[in-house]
This record gives sequence, structure tokens and C-alpha cells, in this order.
Amino acid sequence: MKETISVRQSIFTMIMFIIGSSVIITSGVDAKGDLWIAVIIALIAALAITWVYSKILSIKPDKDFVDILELIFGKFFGRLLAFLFVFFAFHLGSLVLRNFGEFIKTIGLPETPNSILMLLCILLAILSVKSGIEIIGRGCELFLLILLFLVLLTIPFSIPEMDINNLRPMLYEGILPVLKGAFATFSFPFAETIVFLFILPSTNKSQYFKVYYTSLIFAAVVLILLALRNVLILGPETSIRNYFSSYTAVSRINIANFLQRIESIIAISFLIFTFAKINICLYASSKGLSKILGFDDYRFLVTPVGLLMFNFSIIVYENIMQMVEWATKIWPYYSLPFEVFLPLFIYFYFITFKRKKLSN
Amino acid sequence: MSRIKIIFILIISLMFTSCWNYRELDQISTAAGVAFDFDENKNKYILTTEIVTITNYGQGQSLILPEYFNEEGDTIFDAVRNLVSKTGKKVFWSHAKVVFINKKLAKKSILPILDWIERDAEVRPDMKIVFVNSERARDIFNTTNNLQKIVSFHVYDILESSKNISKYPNINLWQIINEIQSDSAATILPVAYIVKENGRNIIKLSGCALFKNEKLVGFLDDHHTKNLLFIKNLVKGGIIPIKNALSTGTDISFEIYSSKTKITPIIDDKLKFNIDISIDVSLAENSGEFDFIKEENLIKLKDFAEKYIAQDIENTLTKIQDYDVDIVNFGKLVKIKNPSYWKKNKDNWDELFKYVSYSINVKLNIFGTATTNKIIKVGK
Repeated sequence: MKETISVRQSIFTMIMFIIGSSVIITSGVDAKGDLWIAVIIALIAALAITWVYSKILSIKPDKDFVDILELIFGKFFGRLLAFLFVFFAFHLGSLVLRNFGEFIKTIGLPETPNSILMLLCILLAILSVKSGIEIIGRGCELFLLILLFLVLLTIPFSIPEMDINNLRPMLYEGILPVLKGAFATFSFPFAETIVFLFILPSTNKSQYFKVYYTSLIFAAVVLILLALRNVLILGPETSIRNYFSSYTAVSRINIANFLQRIESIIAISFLIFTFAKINICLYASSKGLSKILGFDDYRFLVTPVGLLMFNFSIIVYENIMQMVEWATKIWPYYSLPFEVFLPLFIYFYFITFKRKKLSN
Repeated sequence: MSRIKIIFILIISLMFTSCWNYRELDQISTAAGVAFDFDENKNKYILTTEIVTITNYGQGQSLILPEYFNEEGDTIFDAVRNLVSKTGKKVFWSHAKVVFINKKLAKKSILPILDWIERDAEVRPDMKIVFVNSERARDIFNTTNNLQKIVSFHVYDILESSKNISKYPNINLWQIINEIQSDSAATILPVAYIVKENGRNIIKLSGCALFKNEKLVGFLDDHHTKNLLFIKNLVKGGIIPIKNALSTGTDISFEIYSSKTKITPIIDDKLKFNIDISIDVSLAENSGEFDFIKEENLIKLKDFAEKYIAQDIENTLTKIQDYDVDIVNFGKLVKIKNPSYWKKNKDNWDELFKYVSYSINVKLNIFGTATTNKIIKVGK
């Protein structure tokens, strides 16, 4: 029996995934006060590349991503390519897990070992991924609207702290930093949706464009609002200096000494958002791996993959400075082959060499 | 089977729910405020913290009293942590309201203080910094008053009441950081004086201290501070007194209800700033024989007062220019208005700022005369 999720659920899952850690970790800090412009540019680029993703899945709408790769490239090379994407999902999962750990450590529990927090998170993720994609989909459906309501609620509350002059003058340092910021925002979080190539075939209707476009635009609107809120409250310099600028921005809210210290809302929503992202990465990597190894069921792989992810997330950085350095400086270039070059290669290889053969 | 599961879940959730960094209320000492001094001879920071203690008398009665501890350290955080050797418990900073600093520290640099408050996860960045005009900042804790026994909370109350008087600034720490990070790199701090009155020491806040980059450069008295706050659009209330208005021998007080300032830079070969200030006031005092409530007199008074206030503010601006600190952040306005001009001239902004001129335009909206519409006439 094939597990399926509805189109609505996959849209919600993808929105959770995109907003994911971005609700607290800002990418594209090069753009400073013009971050919101960078998000718009990144969105346009992401809409273009996700068109390719959807096209790849539409080659054989009833098949999994790994099957499609095998169809195009043959058994060996197809699986090799698939393995690269599995590794990407796996790596992304560990990085997000580390973000999760570092955030709690920095904000609330400085003396608790990071590994304990991350272990608890990954154990829970293993449990929920083992329950299947339906559970993840339903979970996202349940949480997304509540969390978005809470996160967006901080915007009207923070209006008294905002200063419009923080946005001005626009494009003071020219367009180049904005493009840099757009590039970073494109690679994290928009184009990370490449991971969904493993998940979308479980959708009960093959409306890949609809899922990609709806969730990208919706998530981008949220990210723009958050970027504007952070810059308007903190100012460009402070907002790029903080590791977790959303958290700092919201901690400024103080309405008549009555409504204050509501940053815990942001913290909690961050935890659930990242948890969803970790789930999706874990699901994608174990699902893909089981396909590559030729198994029908992915469930028995979830625990080992999850624990490996946990181990990897511990050794991947030495400290939070490396984490931020990697996320802002190296990740955009590192992820480029997985997010852009390989999908483009797959799609163009298909239309030039294989389209006629497969349609017969 | 399911019953075993439920029992298991209950055991886990009830027994393992505490976190590593869990602290009971009785295991922390809560700081209300802190004073930092700098000792040049030893090259050390000296910290005095005010800790809130609660004594219980039973039957729901308790007394909240401050307790003070001194400690020194090579760095700010070293001094902060050294406190443990005296308090026994780690000091909890989330409720601390005010930081006091003395002159030596202000002349050296306020950056260490700013960094500690902003970086530390426990200290909240909506704290206030107050400059203490005394040999040592910790002298502020040698004052007594019965309104609020905790000195830091008392100063915090005074700061928050700035909206009724506008003679000292009430700025949060993060605003100070933003101002220091901005292109003009200048900020102001409220100044606390320790005054002797009826044989005891009390605190009075008045005026502001000017900082250029991160160092103290001068002071403004309360009168100039109010004018500065007018320009910075931070005035929310207060009194504008005019002695001997229109040479009638009658004194006037306007009560400020709200004030709005708009500054537009005019960039020609010479820099000029148009400052439009619109103030809503009521005529709150008419202490003399001359009746300003009569309409024709009121119009004359309004005219006179607008010019008077504008002249007064211009004097303040000249004074600020003499200090050569762009405390109003005119630089940012130029940057917004004409980014390319700013790029060319930001390196010699200090020079340019000395020679900018102003045209100040005050608009007074007198909307009432409090509760009476006639003056008190002395019967003859």
C-alpha cells in the first residue's frame, strides 16, 4: 500500500520546510537593510529552478525520483546520482539539527551539552518519520497555521519599536550586496526544496507546479515580512550582528510593561519549524537510500540514518562561529551543484537524449 | 499493553521534565542594577551590584530591601562573575534595570559595558545606562529615599517619568548601540547628580552627557537637553516657561502635550537644515496682571513664543556644534536625502558639521487654557 498525502498537506509541509530555520537564522545578511529586495530576487530565481524540479518529477508522475533517475541514466549511474541527492538531504538534516542545538544552547540552556538536546530531537524525529509521511504531513497541517499566526502576531506588536529610517537610503551600497544576499537566500532556504523530489511523488495528485509555486510564494511573503520586521526594529547593523536576529528583535517588544518577553513564542515556533525540517530531511534521505539499496520499505533504515545524522551534526562544526561562517559563506556555493547544476543536467540530458525513447 | 504504555509515558513525563539549567527562585540572587567604576591604578573594573532581598514576616507580609556587593575584575564579565565569591549564588540579571557608570569609565570607553549587556543572553538589552556625576558611580547607592527602597528601581522610575519633564533623556541601551553604530557615532546618556537635601543624599537626574564615538566629550544642562530632545523628536511632555512675556511683567507656562519634529536637509554648496517643530500646548499658567487669554493677546503671545523657542533651540544647536558632535544624527538625514553626496563627504563630516546652518520653524498650537478661562484679578 502506497502512503499518500494530499496536495494541501504537501504545500503545508513545504512551507514549514522553507520557513524552517529561517524564522530565526537570517540568510543573505550581505544585503543588510535591503534584505527584503534580496528575498524577492531570490524568489524569482527559485521559481525558475523549481520549474525544472517539477519537470523532472513530471517525466514519470507515478514513479519515485530514484526510479526516474534509473530510467534516464541506467541502473548504476542513476543510483549514483540519487546517492548524491540523498547525501545532500542527509547533510542538510544534520546542519539543521545542529542549528536546533546551538539555538537552545545559546538562548536558554548554556550548560546543557548540545548533544543531549540534539539527541532528544532526533529520537523524536526518528519516531515520527517511522510513522510515515502521512503523519508528517498531518503534523505540518496542524502546526503551520497556529505557528504562523503567532509569528506574524509579533509584527503589529513591534510597530512602536520600528523606525522607517532603518530602511533608508535604499540600495546605498549599490545592487551588488543585494545580489549576493539574493544568492544566499536562494540557496538557503528556497532551493533546498530539491529535497522534496523524494517526497512529492507521495502526493496523491501529480500537481508539482502547484505545490512548488504556492508554497514558495507563500513562504517568501512570510520571509519578506520577517526581514522587514527585523531591519525596521534592529537597524541594519544590529540585525546582521546577531546570530538570531528575529529572537533579538522580538525581545524588544514591550507594550505598556504588560505585553513583554514574548520572544519565547519565537523560540518555540523555531523549534517546531526546524523539527519539521529535520523530519523532512530524514524522511528524504532514508527513503532515497532504501530505494538505492533496492528495498521496498524505508522504515528499518530510519533509525541508523537518524543516528548517523546525529553523529554527523556533532562533528560537522566545532562551534557556533563556524556554523554561521559555513551557513553564510560556504553553503551557497556548496549547495549550488545539488540545487542547480545537477537538476539542470538531469533535465537537459533527458530532453536531448531520452525523451523520444521513453515516450515510446 | 496500552495501559503499560500510558504508565510508562506518565513516568517519563513526570520524572524527566526538568532541564539541565533549572534554577529555583531561592537559588538565585536577583540584581536590580549595577554600577561600574574604573580604577586606573590597578587597571581594573570595579562593580557594585544592588541585589534585591525579600524578608518574610509571615502572614503575607514581606519587606523588599536592597543589599550591595562590591567586586573587581580585569574585565567586565570577570567582575560580574567574581561576585559569586560574595553572594554565594549566581546573580540573575534578567530583572536588572539600570547600569551606572562614572566619569573615568566614560572617558575610557563605554563599549565594554555595551558589549556585555548586548552579548550576554541573560542581561536584557532594554536596560538603561546612567552617567553618575560623582567620583565613583557606586556613590549612587549611598542615597536614601522612602519612595522606593531599591535605588535602581527608583532611578528607573525617574527615567520613565522623563515623558512628563523632558529635561533628561530616557533611552534604551539598544538605541545607544544603534546611535554609536550609525555614521555620526554619537549618543547621549542621562546624568544623575547626588544632592544633599535635609541632611540626606538624594538622586536628581538632570541634563545629559554627550558621547562621541564611545567616549565622553561634554555635558548639556537640563535646559539645553530639552531643546535637544525637541530636535530629536523625543519630547512627550513638559513645561515651556517664558518669563516676562512681551515685556508685560507677566510670566507664562505652556504645558506640552505632544511635539513633532521634521528635519529636511537642503544640500546646495552649503549645508542647511530646515527644522520644523510643531508643538501642541495648553496655556497652563498666566501669573500676572496681563490677560493673555484674550484672543488678540493670545495671538501676539503665540507669535512671540514661537520666535522665542526657535531662538532658544538655535542656541542649543550652536552649543552642540561647538562640541563638534553630531548628536542629532544629521549625517543620517543627509545620507538618506543624497547618498552620493554623503559617500563623497562622510570622511570630513566633522569639518562640514561645524559650518552647517539651520532654519528653525516652530509652530505652537495652543489648544486650551487648562480649567479656567479668566485670570485671577486682584480686587482693589
